[in-house]
Amino acid sequence: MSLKGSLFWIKIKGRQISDGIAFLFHRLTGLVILLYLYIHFAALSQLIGSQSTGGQNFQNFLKTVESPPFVALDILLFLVIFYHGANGIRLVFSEFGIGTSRRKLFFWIMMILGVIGWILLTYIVVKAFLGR
Amino acid sequence: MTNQESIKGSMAPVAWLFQLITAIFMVFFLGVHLWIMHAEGSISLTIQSILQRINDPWWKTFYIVFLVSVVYHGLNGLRGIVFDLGVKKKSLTNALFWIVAIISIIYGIYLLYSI
Amino acid sequence: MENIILRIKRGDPNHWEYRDYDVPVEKDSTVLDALYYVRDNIDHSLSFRASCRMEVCGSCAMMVNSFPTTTCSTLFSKIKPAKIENGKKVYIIEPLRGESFKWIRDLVVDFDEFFKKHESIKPYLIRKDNPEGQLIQSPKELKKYYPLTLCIKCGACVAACPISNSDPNYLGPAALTAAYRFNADSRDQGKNLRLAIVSDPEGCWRCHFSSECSNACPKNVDPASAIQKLKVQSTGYELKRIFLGKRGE
Repeated sequence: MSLKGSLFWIKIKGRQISDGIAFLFHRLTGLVILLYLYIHFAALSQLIGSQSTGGQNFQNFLKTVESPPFVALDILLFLVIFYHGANGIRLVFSEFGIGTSRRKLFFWIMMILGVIGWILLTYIVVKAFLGR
Repeated sequence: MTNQESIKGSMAPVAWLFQLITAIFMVFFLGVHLWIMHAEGSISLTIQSILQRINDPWWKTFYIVFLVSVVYHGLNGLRGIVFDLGVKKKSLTNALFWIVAIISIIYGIYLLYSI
Repeated sequence: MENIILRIKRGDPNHWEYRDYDVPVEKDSTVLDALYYVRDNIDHSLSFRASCRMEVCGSCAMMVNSFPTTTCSTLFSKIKPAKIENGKKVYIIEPLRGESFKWIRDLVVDFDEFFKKHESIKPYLIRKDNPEGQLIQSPKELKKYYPLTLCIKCGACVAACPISNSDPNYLGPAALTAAYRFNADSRDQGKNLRLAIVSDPEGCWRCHFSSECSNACPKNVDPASAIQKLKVQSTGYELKRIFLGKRGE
């Protein structure tokens, strides 16, 4: 086991954005999303019994998650998810041997699509937030 | 010409294939989830609409498949990172992976039925 | 003519330091030229491996400014200096890094592990029969694997690979590319033997397409693409084994 060697994963010097750095961020965003999954479970456990109580705890829950800091964190999380998703779609194709020779072009196309998706979702969420 | 020593099975390709299949699933699942909870939901998210959705058998199936995909994809990714560190105890890592995955899936289904 | 600073990692694993050497370089000087200059004129004790000076032997791969490359084909005019100190460009030269390479001294590393891994994937033509005369191959069949034969085993890809740097057991891009090179050869009949080896968790499954190997390769072999194709082959092989009970032969 080599923890010291894994420090090499986070080395950015000499790395290409579309290759080594994309790989690093794919790892980091993946870990963030996995961590978020369990936070999500914990958050959902607050809603146990909504069916019988008629949703009082849901109203409290909604009040928390619709506060400005939570919405801001949500938007950041969207960015993480859209990056992981856009880069992930590229990786699915690449790992099947499709588009491996045009890595840079493929990466940036996916990044542009990912950012467009993120901006669209952010726009909808922010608009709904301001209109509330 | 056969070399018996080198011929052994490996489930690694299957794990990889599932990682890719769940990835494709999740582009769809997470897209739907983000849309109904955040885009559409930002405007009209009520407990009634949520309860109505999760009591619908189709939506319930959707959520269960989503749950299994996301837990598998996330934990298998983590398992890959652990292996990349050069961990020698592969079977222990695999056993831990399955235990955590099964507990997570059971807990997720419990949440789905108890809300 | 211009003077630059070569900052070379000197010593052995027990005692080492970076030492600066003031070296004059021409417009078309390579990093290897500068290393020879240091050894001939400044410090005779500098150790490094080099031979052909024309990107054929694969001996002179080192880390130049943290990037693995063959020094004989790296021109100073084509790379950016690591930093500029007192108006002089500084280039940092270090031995290849990675779990496959054991640092011996100065810029020399031990390639034993690297070649052991290379050997383990059976990098030679395997025939079930004993053919007489020549094996015929069409230009189209040759084209399928020809670029992969250009590999000079310099080890730059392994030094660039993030996983090879953390997992000592990972076969690494060089060995896996060699496996694919022979699997793609129409004269070869030992495809399944190799797939049985590379479908191990420490085979092609430790690759996550960070594709730094393809960036580092001085011969443009593109190991990253080869490994992905190997993954598809390997999956087919294992699925056949699981569902049809076919064993490698």
